[in-house]
Formats: sequence, C-alpha cells, structure tokens
Amino acid sequence: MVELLTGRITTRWVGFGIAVVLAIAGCGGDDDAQPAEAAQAGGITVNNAWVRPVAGEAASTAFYMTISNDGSEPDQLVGARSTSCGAIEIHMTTIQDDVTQMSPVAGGLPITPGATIELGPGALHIMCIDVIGPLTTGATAEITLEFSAAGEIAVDAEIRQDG
Amino acid sequence: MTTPAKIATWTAAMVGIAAVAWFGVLPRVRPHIFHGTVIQSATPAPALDLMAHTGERVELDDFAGKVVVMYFGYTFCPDVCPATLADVARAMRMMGDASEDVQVVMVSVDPERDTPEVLARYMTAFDDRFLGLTGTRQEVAQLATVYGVYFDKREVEGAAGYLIDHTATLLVIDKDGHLKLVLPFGTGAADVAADVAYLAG
Repeated sequence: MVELLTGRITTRWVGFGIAVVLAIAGCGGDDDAQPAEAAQAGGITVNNAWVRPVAGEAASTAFYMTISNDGSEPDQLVGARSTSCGAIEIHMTTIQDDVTQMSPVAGGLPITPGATIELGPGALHIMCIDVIGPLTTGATAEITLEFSAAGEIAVDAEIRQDG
Repeated sequence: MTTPAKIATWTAAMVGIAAVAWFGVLPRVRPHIFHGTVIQSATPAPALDLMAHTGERVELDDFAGKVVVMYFGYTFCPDVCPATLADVARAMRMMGDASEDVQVVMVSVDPERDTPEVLARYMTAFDDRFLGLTGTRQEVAQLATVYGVYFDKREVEGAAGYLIDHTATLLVIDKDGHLKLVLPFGTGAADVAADVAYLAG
C-alpha cells in the first residue's frame, strides 16, 4: 500500500505540485490574509495551513497546507483531529478526463527526508466531515496533525475562501 | 526626383502606417482566445427545468440575455466544488459591471443531501447572486446526460458515507442560449473572468 501510495504521489506530484505552487503564488487573494505561522516538530514543518469557510452545519470542508520533512528519517502523516470536525480523513482528489474522484488515503501519507508535500485544491487534502461550525473567514481553526515519527503538531489554519 | 528628404518622409510614413496597423488594428481583428474548449453549437442548449434554492422552478429561458455559467457539483464536496465556485466568485468580482449579465448556477448531483435550504446557504456564501438548482434524481440525471456530464454516487469507507464522482468542468452558455465553452477544472479566476466577460460584452 505504501508503495502504491508513493507511486501515486510521485506520478501526480509533479503536475499537481506545480499547479498548487502556481496557484498559491499566483492567487495572492483579495482577502489580504497573512500567511499562517509555521509549526514544527522533529524534522517536520507545516506551513501555510488554511481551510475553506463553512456557513452551515453537517457540511464538509478541506484543510490545506505545505508539509516539509527536513529531517533525515522518513515520516508519515497518519491522521489528524480538529475540534471543528466531527470526523477527519486524509483524501486524494484525482481528475481524469474532466471527471473528479476523491478517495481516502489509506495507510498514511509518507513524507521522505527532504520532501515537501503540498496539500492543495484538486489534489491531497484533509477532509473535515460534519463541520462543527460556522468556520468564518478571517478567523482560524485549529487542527492537530499526527505523524508517525515527529508526533503531534498543532496548527492554526486560516479560514479563507481563496488559496 | 528622389531626394534623400523624400525617402526619409516616405520611410517615416511607412513606419507610421505599420505602427498604426500593428498597435491599432491587428489586436482588434484578432479573435478572443478562450481558455477552454469552444463549441460551435448549431442548436440551443438543452432545456432545463429544476427547483432553484429559492424554492421556485427555473428554466434556462429565465436567464435569457445573460451568460449562464453552469456547474454540476454538490455541497458535501469539500475540495473541487468549493475551489471552482470560489474561483468563479472571484471572476465575478473581477468582471465588475459585466457580471450583472452573468448567471452562475450549480446543479446538484446530490439531490438527497442538497435540499433548497442547504443549497441556498452554500451558494450564497460564495456570491449572493449564485443559484443552486436541484430536482429529483431522475431530473438531474437527465439534464447531466444531455449536457454530457457524468456523475456517479460511490460508497466509501469512513465517515463521509458516500462521495460523488462527477465531471468538474464549467459549462458556459452564451447570451443567445447556445452552449459555447467548456472550461476545465483549475481554470483560474482571471481566465474565467476574461472568457465570460467577453461573452457578456
């Protein structure tokens, strides 16, 4: 499974990664939000965490962020929790022939030493199910990420509509 | 008599004409370059008759004279749908006054979850002019089929219960009611704005 997952990430990584980086670089957004502070534990650093706003209840949303492994050991994002979410899962969106499909990433998300993984729209994301909201633009939502080696990292994600 | 002065005058005149042609005329005759697949529809876009999030039935004719940007999605979709609608909302703001001649609609491919109330809250969070449309499963499936849109409900392990695979393009219907343009997922707000404003102009 890990091998399969790694294969999926390496093949899709180039395209999605570039797209996400361009999107982040190009959007700028008109909300004038400041980038979230980096959170770090062990070799893992989490940057630019954000989540889309949600107006109602019983809805879903997605957390996005950049995760870097600057350590010398492989690590894995194995899960997450948030007081804003009834349930939370790591998901991967794929788009083929214009059709989008979303699937839970089983077995965790490997992050090799030196690697940076972008969680961004239309690609990897952390799905927040049964949102305990509202999540209002301009505020922040906490999310705690669980890594197999680095342990837990708590991050404040900006609530904003545009990447 | 060809004097150096005459040659200089003629040269200056030719350069001037070339400059006017290049900067003044050519850009105007060059057609707008769209950011998706352009469709030359010989027939009007297929009829639409669904329940709007306002509780009223709507038809495509209700938007006559406007450019219609149509998306098939669902509110429980956490990633691709809000990413697309957020981009379209930004595009509407970029278009300024031209956006008054644009109607954005999302047809729900999840009529079980997407009641008019749920759709109203979801759509107006992006732009209060956006309209969510829903209907019976059969009505939605028929409409998707005639617009070449695929969707399929898929049970998944975990808390989501089920997710829906779906075509994630934006369908743009021009002011004359013809399907004109299909924009793929990931078309940036500026490109959406450029194409839709061109059709609205």
